[in-house]
Amino acid sequence: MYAPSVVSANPKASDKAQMRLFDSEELVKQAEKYLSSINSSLKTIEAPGTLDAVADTTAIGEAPTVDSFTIKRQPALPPVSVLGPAVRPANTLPDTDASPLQIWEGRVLSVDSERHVMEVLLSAKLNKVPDHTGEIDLEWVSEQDADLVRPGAVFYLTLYKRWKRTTVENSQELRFRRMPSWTKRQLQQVQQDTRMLLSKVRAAPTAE
Amino acid sequence: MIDYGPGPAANEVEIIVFGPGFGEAIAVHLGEGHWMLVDSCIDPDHNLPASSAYLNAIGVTAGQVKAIVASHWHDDHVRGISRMSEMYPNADFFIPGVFTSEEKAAAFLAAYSGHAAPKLARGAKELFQVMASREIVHAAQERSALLELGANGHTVRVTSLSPSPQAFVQSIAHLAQFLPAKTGVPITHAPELKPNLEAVVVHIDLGHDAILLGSDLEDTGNLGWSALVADNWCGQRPPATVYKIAHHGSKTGHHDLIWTNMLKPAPIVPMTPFNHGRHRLPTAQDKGRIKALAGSAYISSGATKRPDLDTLQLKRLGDVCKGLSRVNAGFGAVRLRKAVTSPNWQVKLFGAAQQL
Repeated sequence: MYAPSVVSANPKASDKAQMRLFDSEELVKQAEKYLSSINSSLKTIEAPGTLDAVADTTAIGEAPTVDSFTIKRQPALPPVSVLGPAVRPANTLPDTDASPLQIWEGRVLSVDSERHVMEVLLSAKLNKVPDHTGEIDLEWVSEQDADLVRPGAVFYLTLYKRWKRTTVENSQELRFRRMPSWTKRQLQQVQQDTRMLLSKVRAAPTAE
Repeated sequence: MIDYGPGPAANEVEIIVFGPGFGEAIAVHLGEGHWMLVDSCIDPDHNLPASSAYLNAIGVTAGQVKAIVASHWHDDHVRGISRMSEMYPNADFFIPGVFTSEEKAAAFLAAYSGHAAPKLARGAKELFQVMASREIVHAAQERSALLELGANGHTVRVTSLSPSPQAFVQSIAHLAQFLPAKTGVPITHAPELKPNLEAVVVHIDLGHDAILLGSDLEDTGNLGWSALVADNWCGQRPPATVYKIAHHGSKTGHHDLIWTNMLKPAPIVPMTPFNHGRHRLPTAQDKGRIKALAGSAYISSGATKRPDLDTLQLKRLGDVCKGLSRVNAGFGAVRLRKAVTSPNWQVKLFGAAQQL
């Protein structure tokens, strides 16, 4: 499971800038390896593997049903360098538990620069919750992710409940998925698949 | 769970339009147990393509499905179509001609097949999966013959009236922008071409009546519907008494000459809504226009926008996301059925479907 960037409590303007980012899926995998190496009691979600795996097992048009999961942190965290410079460490404190209320996989439908909002389609990853649309102020998007905001971009909005000693706080995290670049192997695969597709085509006869 | 009742008799024809709010699927009984399916969306009760769930419910066997048409590649029209293709392996499968006659367009499907870019351009992925799993797929374009058979003493002819050759050029230019040209270029989302000029409009000549399926074809300049209604051959198709309205009843999917040249007066108009954020179709103005032109009009799903979240989730999500509304207001279906000897269609509404 990804290490959440537990930002401060209820949404305020200052909080909106404190968003955790992953530059690539590779860094995400590093984070997962890192977490499992430091915390033997870490519980991942009760569904196949990581968040992306959950996404990839999505049945036709449906989010997988995952009832609940909890992320538990050990007090001491290894240095940031394990994760690489682009990933900031989780801003957690000792004796802190964070439970996600919901993970929304979002897709940007459109961007309104004048109103400074992006229209989004949200699909829930936990429990069977219908898809919703709405608008998110672009202030919620960190500077590092600003270049990713365009129609079709995918992001994850995680809503947490965080217990900090005797208090409970709400927090949230919005991060965009940064797609990798086309590789030579993938381009070769595309060429191969194109030839395969064209070999199967037959023109329908012309009607009289 | 919807109870559809018994299926049509051999001497009856039928069209049923399914839609949950974002999604559209059509099943047509051509008579004597012959079926054709156009597009696909998911029936949430069965987690199956809606048309398949319906055919299962009324006892139609796989061999009775003669043709499947993917009218275009947009996600809301082809979700589950690859599964449907597997369920009816002997049905001829038709895909828009633009994808099959040009290398660039085929490369687009290959690029967004799901191998390199999971969940980008899901519609392209569905079509890729169909083509990868079949021996042959057929290209449908203006004046293509999709199906011809005899039923109830009539010759049933199904033809495609679009896309036009001019629309091919624009579509391919759009798709070509998103082809991976070299390594090191980030994989990006491939948005849908707007307006939609590449959709396949299907005309069903039943011999004694006709049905027009408008898909999502839009109009701009001399492309789209303008090209279609100006074409003599298209204009000679028998006028239809049923019109599955184009592009969810939008203004951009409207053309006056559709109603005067291609339809009989006061046709019955089934349709599906399009609920995607603030962009919702049909608008109130669209509904007014449609009701003025149609004899009667029906929509597969109601238009409620109320979020479907518990109080806590609504509050927490609402802190970040404003204007929340649910995408699918409820799955429904509009069914029109009649005997071949009767001029009158019987309308039945299922689930969340309602009269416009």
